[in-house]
Amino acid sequence: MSRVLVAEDSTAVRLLLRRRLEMEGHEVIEARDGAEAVEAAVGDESKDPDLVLMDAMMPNVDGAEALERVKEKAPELPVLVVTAMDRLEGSPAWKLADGHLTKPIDFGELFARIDLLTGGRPRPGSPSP
Amino acid sequence: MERSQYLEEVMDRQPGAMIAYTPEFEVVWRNRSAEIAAPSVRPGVNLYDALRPFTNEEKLDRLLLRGEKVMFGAAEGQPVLEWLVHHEKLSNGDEILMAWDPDITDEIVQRRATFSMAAAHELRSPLTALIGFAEILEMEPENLSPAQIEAVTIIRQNAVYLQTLVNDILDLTSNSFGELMLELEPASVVEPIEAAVRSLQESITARDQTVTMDLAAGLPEIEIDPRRVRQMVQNLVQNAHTHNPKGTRIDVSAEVRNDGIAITVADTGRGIPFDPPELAFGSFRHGGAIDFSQMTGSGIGLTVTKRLAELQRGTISVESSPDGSRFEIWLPIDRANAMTRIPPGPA
Repeated sequence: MSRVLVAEDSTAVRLLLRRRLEMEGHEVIEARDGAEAVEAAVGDESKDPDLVLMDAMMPNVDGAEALERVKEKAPELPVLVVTAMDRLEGSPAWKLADGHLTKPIDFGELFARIDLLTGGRPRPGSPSP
Repeated sequence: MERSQYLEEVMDRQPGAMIAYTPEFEVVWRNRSAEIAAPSVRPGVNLYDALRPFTNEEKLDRLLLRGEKVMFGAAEGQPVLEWLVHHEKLSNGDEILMAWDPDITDEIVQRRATFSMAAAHELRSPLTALIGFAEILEMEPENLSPAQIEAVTIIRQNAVYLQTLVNDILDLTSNSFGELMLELEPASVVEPIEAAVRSLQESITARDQTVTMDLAAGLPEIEIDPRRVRQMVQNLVQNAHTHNPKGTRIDVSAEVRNDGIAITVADTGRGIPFDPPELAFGSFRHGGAIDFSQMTGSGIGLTVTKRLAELQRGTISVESSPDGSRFEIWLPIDRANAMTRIPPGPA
């Protein structure tokens, strides 16, 4: 199972993502805005997420800029963008994302995407299947 | 200076672009602003084809076939223009296309639409939380009493309904500024119809209503946006469900008719409170601006459904009596050649 960094400014949605991801057996780290997301993704070695779930619109540093900074330091770290818009637009940074999901979130699709993006890279120390 | 030369110069000094063309779309004349804005739209060429490189087919349909106001840039690096077919034809039947820089017009309308789009997006996060936590509760029904199960089901159903309304509002606002685009593919209407009915089945049964489906065998695949077909059928079924009493029967059917596929949603309810019933679709086709005061509770879904049918070059019609109403969506089998023109009316 994976360690997922959830970057989302809405407390309720962040908690929802935590609950559902934990029910699937994933480990969850939280970030409340873009700046925290960048710090947790590439600044703090103890966090070391396998995947970032990034809200597109966040205060301080917005999703597009956070995505750009994360990919600059860790191009291999998969980032899924979650957006309340119909499509991602307004920034060239969006093409760096490894995919996007729209709100309300289809959890079946989310879990499948996470498995697909992290499947080839089991956490060191995790029991092999 | 001769009079015709003089008038030509007056036209050339207009800041707005003007293009005159025959009913067959052959460009006859343009002023200098048009020449600068869109050099390739010159006399002799087909207007529809000449504009095609600048924008998508949906916008051209709305502009040239349905007389709506749309926005697109005429060339790389140039400002986005507003385009509109003038509703007064020339005496020989030729028509005039005008384009101008929107900065000088209806900024207020645009600001209002931007606001409703932002508001609708803001609503999506709380809706995500509402639906998501209701689903978490429903995952372990053994921990809930029957009354609590009922309560959480109603919360989820209404949150999902609210979500469709938010999506409809977004579609209306984006459509009025021309950003609504179809994802066309050859597909059957069967799956979208079934998905639409399935999504409302539980809610319909809970209100002691029934829904039946009668989809003709061997319906051909046609060029549609399956997600939008589902949305249209869902809106019609939702409408029949919400606005009619207990015991109402809703019949959904689909068959081949008049070179198209007719999808019918009929109910045994009390009919539509509009005379003529077409008023239920809303009446803000012209100019593309949205008049929310024209909308009723059922108006949003029906208005969106009508626009989606038109975008797919189809039609929607309604019949209503005190014994029930009957909506019919018609989608052409040969979309490429289904370019029926709706004459622009007074703006």
